[in-house]
Amino acid sequence: MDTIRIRRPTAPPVEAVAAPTFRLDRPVVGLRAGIRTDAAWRSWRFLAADWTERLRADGVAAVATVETHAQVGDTGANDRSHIADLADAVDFAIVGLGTCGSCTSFAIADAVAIEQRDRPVVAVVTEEFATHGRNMATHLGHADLAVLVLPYPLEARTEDDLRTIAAAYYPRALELLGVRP
Amino acid sequence: MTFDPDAVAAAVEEVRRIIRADGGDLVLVDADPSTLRISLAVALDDVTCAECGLPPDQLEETIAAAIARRVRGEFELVVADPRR
Amino acid sequence: MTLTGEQVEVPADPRAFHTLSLANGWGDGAPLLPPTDDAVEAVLACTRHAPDHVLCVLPPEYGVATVELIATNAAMAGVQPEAFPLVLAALEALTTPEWNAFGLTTTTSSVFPMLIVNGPCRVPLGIDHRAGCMGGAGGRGSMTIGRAVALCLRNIGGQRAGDTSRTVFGQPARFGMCFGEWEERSPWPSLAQRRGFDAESDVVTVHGGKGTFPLADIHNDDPRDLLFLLAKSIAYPLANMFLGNADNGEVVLAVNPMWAERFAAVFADITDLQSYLHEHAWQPLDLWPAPNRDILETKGRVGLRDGVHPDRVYLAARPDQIVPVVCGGLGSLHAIALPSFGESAMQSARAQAVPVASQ
Repeated sequence: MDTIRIRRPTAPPVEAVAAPTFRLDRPVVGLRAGIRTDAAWRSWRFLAADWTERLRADGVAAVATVETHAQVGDTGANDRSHIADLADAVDFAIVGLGTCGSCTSFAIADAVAIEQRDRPVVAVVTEEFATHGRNMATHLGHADLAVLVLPYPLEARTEDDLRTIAAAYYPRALELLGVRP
Repeated sequence: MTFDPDAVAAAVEEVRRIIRADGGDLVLVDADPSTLRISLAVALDDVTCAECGLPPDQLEETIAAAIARRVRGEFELVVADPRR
Repeated sequence: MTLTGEQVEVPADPRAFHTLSLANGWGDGAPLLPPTDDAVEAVLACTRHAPDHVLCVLPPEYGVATVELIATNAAMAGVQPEAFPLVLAALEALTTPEWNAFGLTTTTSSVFPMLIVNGPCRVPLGIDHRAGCMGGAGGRGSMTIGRAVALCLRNIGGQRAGDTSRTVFGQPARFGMCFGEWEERSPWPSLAQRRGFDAESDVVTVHGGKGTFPLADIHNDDPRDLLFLLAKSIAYPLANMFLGNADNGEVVLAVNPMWAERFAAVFADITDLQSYLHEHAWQPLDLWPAPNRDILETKGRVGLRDGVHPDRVYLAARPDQIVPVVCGGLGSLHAIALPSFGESAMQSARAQAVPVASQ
């Protein structure tokens, strides 16, 4: 068979980089917690409210919340700025929710932004977007970012279902943050 | 798609012979490939009977058909006819 | 010229090369042209950039897009070398942070870069702007420039549906979409001019569009009535622009030249046209089921910012988010909306052509 020579059209694979990740290695008592919610996902707001109460019951000093609304524009820029403020104001954070393509990308990006400020953080995604979430973390240079995977879909569930999920996955979130009894 | 101003001119000349036979004239004002607009003007100054000869709508159809035989693709025909 | 990309030996037979390209995941399923050194060098001759110049980094896998690698993909797509600056301009534009390639290359949405071209290059480069401009006219520029951008996103950025891209459906434009504005038939300044470029520049505007949404009318004589219906049509209830922030996103409204003349007779200033469309691009709040209404209220989407019209949900916060572009054939009767992803702002870049004598 006759052959010709061409130039490979694909980019070389980017070397996976794992930036430092952080764990609490202690109880949450006395610490300042942060939770990032997304205006798009009511289910995650419900879980976040449930976990806020659980964190308070576990003795955290305070729970700060930031809700993001946009990816671009002035609102998007404000959201990213609020994430930076959150990172400076807390000892650890829980960042959600990745349950669509672009919102997973941004949830991971916001979690990475907090991890870059040396805070223990766990990013929360739903199962359908788990691989995507881990890929995005790797592509952003944070291959070891802690990722909590919730059932999919989370929307359109009853409040009872969401309470059950909240109760079941709260301990796992603390485990990923490195919380010790 | 082709829009050849020379082909347009040839088509107009074909119809022009018909109008000249009645004492009138047909002038190609512009054929612009960038807008696909073909502008013509009907002159009836030397016509003794303006209502004789092809009526405006029929004249426009005749012109359009002559152009379409030579020019592939779309075009917009604008005919200034004093009888309208 | 020294090329540094890895050389690969492939079958010379075009069908065998097509089969190999499919196996290697290099393309979009359609036949590709082999990017031989001659082909790549011919493309590179039409830019002043050095082959090793890094033009951008493409998500989602953050592949480094050197000009040589972009030229390789452009050669595969069949881009006319003189059209290469438009490919570069498109990639420059879509990697601007406000275009949000990070989100748009990974979303579940169908959204994909839609390229709108202005400037003198349209005719010599086969950028379709008349009949069939969004498919069917077959201009080389229209069929290959958008495809080159798509191949770059795939082969350099690693965007693959069902894998790194979570797109549920995709859309035909994911093969590549590139059309021009019919500036000569527009009664208004061109899109590029409205965005601050001079009329002599070749400009690529990249819009994050979800698809082509056809609109037809044979009934309305009054242009205001027709525009009213166009406004209502683009404000369809499940439009992305209703999902999030009202300030973000643009919807392109492709208007055929005949309708453009009618609209310009009433709205000589295009900003007045945009204001009229914006004024009517809303739906009544009670169109949505009750739970949706609560959500729209919570997201601040009810009424205008000053509290006026609390019974309405407006598609966009500002008139300039509705972007008319004159194109299409002389058959009238139709417009096309290119709905927005929402969380993206269209971006423009000037194509830096190399004078012919310099090639």
